[in-house]
Amino acid sequence: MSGPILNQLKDIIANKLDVNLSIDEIDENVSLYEDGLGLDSIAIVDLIVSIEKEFSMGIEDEELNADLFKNLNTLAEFIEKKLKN
Amino acid sequence: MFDHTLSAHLKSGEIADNVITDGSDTCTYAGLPGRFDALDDFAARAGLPGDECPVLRCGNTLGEAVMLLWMLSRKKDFVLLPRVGGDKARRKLEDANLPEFCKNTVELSPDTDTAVVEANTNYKKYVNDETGGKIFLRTSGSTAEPKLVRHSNEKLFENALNCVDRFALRVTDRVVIPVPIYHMYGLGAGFLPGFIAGVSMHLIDGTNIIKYMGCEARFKPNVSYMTPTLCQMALRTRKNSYAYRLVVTAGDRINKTTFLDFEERFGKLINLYGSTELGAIATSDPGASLETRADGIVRTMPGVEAALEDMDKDLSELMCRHGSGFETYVDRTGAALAGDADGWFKTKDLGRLISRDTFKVIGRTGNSVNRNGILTAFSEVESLMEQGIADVQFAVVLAKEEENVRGKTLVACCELKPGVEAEGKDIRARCFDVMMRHMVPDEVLIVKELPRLPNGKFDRKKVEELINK
Repeated sequence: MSGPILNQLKDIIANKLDVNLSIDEIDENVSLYEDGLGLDSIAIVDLIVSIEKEFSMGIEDEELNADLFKNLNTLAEFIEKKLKN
Repeated sequence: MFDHTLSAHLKSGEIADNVITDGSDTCTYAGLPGRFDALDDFAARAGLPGDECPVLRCGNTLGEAVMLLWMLSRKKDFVLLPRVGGDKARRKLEDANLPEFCKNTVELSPDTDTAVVEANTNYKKYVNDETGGKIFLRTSGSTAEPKLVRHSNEKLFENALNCVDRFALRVTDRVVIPVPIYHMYGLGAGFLPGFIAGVSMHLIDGTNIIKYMGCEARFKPNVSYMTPTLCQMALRTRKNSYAYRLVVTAGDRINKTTFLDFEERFGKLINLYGSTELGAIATSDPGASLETRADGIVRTMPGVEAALEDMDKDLSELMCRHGSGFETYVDRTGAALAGDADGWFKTKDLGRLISRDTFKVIGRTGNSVNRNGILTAFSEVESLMEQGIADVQFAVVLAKEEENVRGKTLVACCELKPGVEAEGKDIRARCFDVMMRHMVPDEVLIVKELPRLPNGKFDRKKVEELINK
């Protein structure tokens, strides 16, 4: 589920964000924050902006919540649902 | 001071149900005395007598904020440092640099949310000041050995009171503090004024836009303490507007476009200019026009004098004197360091005086810039590159005028060790392992040989030309 989207998210993180991570180092099950992938507050904003651009979608203010950004799996599922709608 | 504040609050009954929260844990003002009593018991059990000066390692959780208020209310002497977290390498480095006059460190265990006391292996002795109530803050300047700044309980209170008045904080306000309360900005301009005014406060630990939005949706704040970076993040990601009564920003100069865009969508923006040493020095005048505030013109707080080092020039180093400022710098042993006898504090910022009590800050005077709101010394980035990256022989770090979301663009120009070949992007990737994120240069240039002056020092002007080519 969400395989291609997950891969696209990993590509965004490795190649579009300034975070010094390669695709192989990105685990979709761990937290996006300091205790996982280590994305800082600016990288999280860059990720949101890149997702909106790459998937041609808008993320509304009320959708920006901790559950959605728990890990890459939850994010990929959200994008998949949003694209279907 | 702080103890009387709480008593007065509770006697008035006006704010008993107002809360301090971190989103997970919440305490009413009426509940604070009970928490303080529990900490008194803990201190007695843990061997933390009042005549010592522990290090309080603090983040923005409620438990940590309560511990901080307890120490202030009980007029304890303490050094306020950031929580270190679980990173063993960082903890080792931090432990090695603990002041020699602190017998113990106190922090909350993240697992049990109870206070933990550990012995400081550097401890030698603490000469207790008879008055008590000394608070030591570490300068945010990223020099090799940061300075400790000694404040008194009373002056810190006066400083905070200035902010209560300037921001017209009142008991009905709901204040969000996403900036760290172990820094003077979050502490002296945000958290303590909030406490003195008896407002409901929401602290955010480890701020990012997701946590901030969650807080806004649940807590419905009407006052916020931001940084220019946080303002930019909000502008980049948020679709809706939100009406704050007041948003304070500090830590770096905010550019005019961001200022105007932010105020249009989120409410009145006030720029605060301050330092660890003097606390809140000046802010935009809340009653001034949008144009004046967006231009960065600030008005001194009560008790603050401002002057230029060279009053004959239009632009010169800004100097300030504050009756409620710091007492002295101290060294690692706790001994006071000699300061300017006349009490004028050199801000290391270039300023322009507009009138007797208004001025404008133009930029930094020295070899440093603000990145993510943190003062970043070029010398420290150079030293970390030379010591931490085996291939780098020498590094010269400079800032370009152009800015990105972290602040001024930081460029490192490197001479590699003989026989080594590497590209700038490889060296930059290794910077992530040896320095904090805000210090990582945005660009790394490799040169065969760094230009030098006849005396052997690096020719920074020529390096600047190289970088701008």
